[in-house]
Amino acid sequence: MFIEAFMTPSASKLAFASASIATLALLLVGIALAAPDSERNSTTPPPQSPIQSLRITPDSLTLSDARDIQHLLVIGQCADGQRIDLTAEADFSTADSIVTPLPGGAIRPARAGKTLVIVKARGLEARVPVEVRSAAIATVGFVRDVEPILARAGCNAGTCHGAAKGKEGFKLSLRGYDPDYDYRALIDDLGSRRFNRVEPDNSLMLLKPAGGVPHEGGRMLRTDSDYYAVIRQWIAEGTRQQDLSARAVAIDLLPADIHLSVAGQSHHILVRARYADGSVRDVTNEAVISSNNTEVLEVKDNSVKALRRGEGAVLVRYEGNYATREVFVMGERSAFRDDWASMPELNFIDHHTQAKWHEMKIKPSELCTDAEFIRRVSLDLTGQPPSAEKLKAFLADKTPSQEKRAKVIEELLASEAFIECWTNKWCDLLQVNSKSLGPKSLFMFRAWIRDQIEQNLPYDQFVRKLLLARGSSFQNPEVNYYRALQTPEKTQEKTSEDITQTFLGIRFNCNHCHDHPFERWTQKQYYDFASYFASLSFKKGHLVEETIVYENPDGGVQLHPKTKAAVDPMVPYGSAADFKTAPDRREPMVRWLTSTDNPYFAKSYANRVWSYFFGKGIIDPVDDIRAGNPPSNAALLDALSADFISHKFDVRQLMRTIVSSRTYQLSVASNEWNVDDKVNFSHALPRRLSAEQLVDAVGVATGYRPKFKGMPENMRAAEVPDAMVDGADVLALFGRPKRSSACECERTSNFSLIHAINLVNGSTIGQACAIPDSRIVKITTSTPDDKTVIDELYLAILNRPATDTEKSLDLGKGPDRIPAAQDLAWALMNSPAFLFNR
Amino acid sequence: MKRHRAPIQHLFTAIRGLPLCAVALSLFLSAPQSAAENPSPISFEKQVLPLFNAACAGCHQPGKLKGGLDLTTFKGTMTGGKNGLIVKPSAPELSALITQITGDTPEMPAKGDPLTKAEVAIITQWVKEGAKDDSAPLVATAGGALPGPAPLTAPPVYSVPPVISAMAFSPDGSMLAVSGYYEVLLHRTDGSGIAARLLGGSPRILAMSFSADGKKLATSGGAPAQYGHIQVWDVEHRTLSGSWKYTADTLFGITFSPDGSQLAFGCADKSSRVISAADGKELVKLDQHTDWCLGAVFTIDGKRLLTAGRDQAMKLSSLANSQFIDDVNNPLEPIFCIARSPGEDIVAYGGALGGVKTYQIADNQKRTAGRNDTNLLKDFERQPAAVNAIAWNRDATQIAVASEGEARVYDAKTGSRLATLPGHEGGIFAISFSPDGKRIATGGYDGIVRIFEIPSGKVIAAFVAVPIGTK
Repeated sequence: MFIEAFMTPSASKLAFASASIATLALLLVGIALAAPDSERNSTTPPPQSPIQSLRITPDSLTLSDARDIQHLLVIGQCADGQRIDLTAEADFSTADSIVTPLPGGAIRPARAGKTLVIVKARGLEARVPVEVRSAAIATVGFVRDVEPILARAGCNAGTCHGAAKGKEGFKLSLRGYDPDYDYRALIDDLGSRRFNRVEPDNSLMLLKPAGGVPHEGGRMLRTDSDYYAVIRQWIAEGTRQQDLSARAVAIDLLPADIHLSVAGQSHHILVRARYADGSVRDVTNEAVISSNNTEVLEVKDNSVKALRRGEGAVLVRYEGNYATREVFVMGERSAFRDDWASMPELNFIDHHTQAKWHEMKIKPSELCTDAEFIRRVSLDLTGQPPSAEKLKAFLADKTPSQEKRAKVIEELLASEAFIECWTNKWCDLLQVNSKSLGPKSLFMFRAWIRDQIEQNLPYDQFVRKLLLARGSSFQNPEVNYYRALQTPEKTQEKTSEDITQTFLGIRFNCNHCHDHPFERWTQKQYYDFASYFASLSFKKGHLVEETIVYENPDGGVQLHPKTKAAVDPMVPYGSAADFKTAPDRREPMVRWLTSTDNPYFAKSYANRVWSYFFGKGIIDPVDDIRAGNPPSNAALLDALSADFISHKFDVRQLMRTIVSSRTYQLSVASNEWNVDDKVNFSHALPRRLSAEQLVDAVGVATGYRPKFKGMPENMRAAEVPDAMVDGADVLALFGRPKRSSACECERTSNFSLIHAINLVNGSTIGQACAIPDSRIVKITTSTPDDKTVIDELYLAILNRPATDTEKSLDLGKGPDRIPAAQDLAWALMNSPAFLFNR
Repeated sequence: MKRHRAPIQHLFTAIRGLPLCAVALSLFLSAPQSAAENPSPISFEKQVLPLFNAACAGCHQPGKLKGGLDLTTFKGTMTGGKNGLIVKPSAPELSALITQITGDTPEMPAKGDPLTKAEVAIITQWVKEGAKDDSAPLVATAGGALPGPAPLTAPPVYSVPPVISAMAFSPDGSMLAVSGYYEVLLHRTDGSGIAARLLGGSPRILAMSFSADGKKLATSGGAPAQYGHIQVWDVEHRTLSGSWKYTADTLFGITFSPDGSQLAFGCADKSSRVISAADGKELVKLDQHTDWCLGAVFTIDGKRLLTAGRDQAMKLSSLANSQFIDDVNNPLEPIFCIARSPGEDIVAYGGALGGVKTYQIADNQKRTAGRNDTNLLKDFERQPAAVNAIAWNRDATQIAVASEGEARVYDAKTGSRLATLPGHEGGIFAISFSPDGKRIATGGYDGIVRIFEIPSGKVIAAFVAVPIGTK
């Protein structure tokens, strides 16, 4: 069979003697399907072993009415464990007319009865028992049948009628989260403008998408489609409304694993909805299926196609339910050799990253040098590079590399600079700014944060203290967090949004106005959660600028914006104790939030901390955790969270674990097999120094520190308490946040022309080079040997010794020597090796 | 060569009488065939324009003019857009119209499904044949308005009741006019049934108004996203005395001028217009609103026009010089319906959020930052849903309000609720007081006319407005 079908004369001439026929056939198919792609790794499929059997999913079907079209997936099982989707090429037939097979593996009922669908592919055959209980046309329900079509056709997309203001006077709820609203829009507007029950085909809601009348959104429905027929029937049956209980309660996405190894290969997927009454329905044709990474995966016609090597996920949504399936596209890696298998694991992190590298056929980079390590770890843990003295001592130390690296990690974790660096970071996260707090409270709150970090207060206790804060802003400065989140109106809403984003890494700002478009979070949950803060009240204290934060039992209530009804506090998932039994309604919520059982609490912070050391979270962005944004290495993140919890939320221990891993200590230099890796941490990613790091690095290297108005001399940039401080413009330019948002994205790290101009012409580096008492001048004056001066400058600025070639530079004599050294320092500070953490 | 052609020629002869087949065949053979040999040239009006309508006119229409292009007429097609001409007759390969819609990923249409190969072939062939115009010339009526579509010649047959979107008692109280599908039904108010079925050319009638003497009945409506239509019937003779088209969408909220000579209505193109009730001549076109205009009423003296719409504003304009005078209200919600008091320059509006308010029809010059709604007279209780229709009784003491499920009657001065009129399923889109003020008729989504006694609120009658299943 194989030979007849695929062994063409030209193919037989090819020199693939050892390859099996099936492999050869696949190879040809693969070549034919591959997108034109100049990338070396994408076009040639790997050798595959022959298909041994067909597996059909599901293995039997029960069809309950005329529109109950169900899909079959035909999977070819290969000897090597590969599973290849054969649905598109399979032949479906039946001996009678009980069902009609349609293209793409769909089975449509024709009349009641039982039959077998015979599936043939690649010379193999499988039989699927099918029962048609009834082939009668069932009544159409708005929620169950019509609303999903509006989503699938894209009518209620954010760019169309789902926009906040709708389009052309017709507004639907975004992606159909509110079927009652959509029903009203279709039925009531302008005297029932959109349907015509006398002549259903002349209904505006059919004429528009079918091209019967002009429609800016174009033609979306064919008049001969099932979608059109369903809407038409609904109108003819009297446009009945349907209870929301008709919505699906969960969806299943099949298959469990999607194997796509090379570009051009595709795989059908199948979506089934489950209902409260226990029934299950195939909704593959109605679900909205998309790709979260359109460079790697393309979704079309219920099928996902690999475009190039990489990782992506298929996202499916249906009536507020979400499902995702991650897909790895290996690409052509036949020349890859797992020759780094003996690389030692320094801790559990390496175990999980290495597992992923093996799986993805990635070869990690080598370890970075000691000089690279101390610069990187000093910047990451303390926000500033090592001094030249410390660097020299470290390099001169003859202890084995890992031992002395461990030692320097401990020194840095115990340093004052560490405390300053992380106080500054927490001031970002907690939005510590004088505009919201006033100058005195600003300093007091910052000092409070600094104390907690100095004591290394466990993270869960820190959050509990912060979120249960009450009393005077002078006596209990932690209440300032609530003051910072306070807005003239609706305090509890911003509070609720920012707390979920900061401490759970989930974005509730979307479901402020509508159900979250990419996740299960609903608008109701937003207000339920906000209700925990509804009775939080603020009043003036006796002292100037003093504010008292207190729980007012008669305080405000949280109203739902649509129903205008007061909502009781409730957590969005899991369960919390009844708020009524607590003296402060926040208590049960805070206990729930900081619990080790909370799947987001430890994980979101472990992930956030990870991102500070790698420039990218395992889930990224770190504060947008959702099904459609899966972790690049779930096992790693789970292990990291578990380790964080088992060490009782010890943040320094978490950081110690991260920087002690081999993964953290990899070089920035990539190799042939990891150059395209951007998500698996197989090499270090160069990261531009943050605003504070940049200014402090200049300070460490040259001794020059800019003066911030009203602040002590020689202050580190990381110690500047507020964005409003005069003289801090350079910090703003390089992306220091204003601290008015809970989003990690408020801090920017891009590098553009304006930054380059500042560095080349501005005072940030220019002043540091020009001042008469800089380290540059001191070293040059006190050291007659040019080579030593140059070496010292390289050590101080780039944190590495100069090479012999670099040292061969002639600094000149007399009055030109100091300017020459200053020019060299200026050039070094303008180099990427200085401006980036590598 | 000759031998091969003969059977094809023979085939043509055989099916010459069937134009559709011939078209299909000519497409099939298109490549070697010259235009001259084609027995049936492509019709711009019947074949090309419907494709433009389906796939292009969402954006390339007079209201949007994306790319400066209007593809709703032959003239617009040949004029082209801001990038110049799009049709080079007889040269499809040089016509942007064709190059934009062909290729693996055609540039156009920007949204929705691309044109099929067969559709592209029709348009291409039309250009190849010289891009000729065969559309019937538009002949305006004597007054300059475009004639309305031909009225139905036989009454529609209903299997289900249509939604009732407009209703009005005749001034003498003898009849209740109710909107149907392509018709207005005149019901006798004595309960003896349908007096007449006034057939017309509008599938939807959204508002209706009797002239003060009861001799004329004017309606505004049309077909959504197709045309707006004003119809005027001679009530006594049951004849359609006026039928004119305006704009490309339905028309709203028609009212007579106090002297009965003019009609005013709102349009989906955001304008409001005043026309002659005799010949449809457009007398005034006002472009004050920023969204659909849904209602227009004359002041008592007939010299000013108050218009309202989805942009939340009620705007007062002078008809003498078409000048905008002022915004009458502080905008708070889209306004769905307005009605002027029979005796005074006072307007009542119903809003999208369920608001019902009365305003003095005057400029708002006394407004300050603190008090910016100086014309507001009464803010009535909020309705359970959007207010779709509103009406005054003849002595201007009561206001009837239609929203969803129930209608309500209020004392116009005090705002107190006088009656609640329940029973409808879904939205109520039409409400009318009988001239003696003792009855209110309501109708809407459920297609049933309900007549209530006022102020008791008792249902006097409830019936389906159209005959079901019979002619």
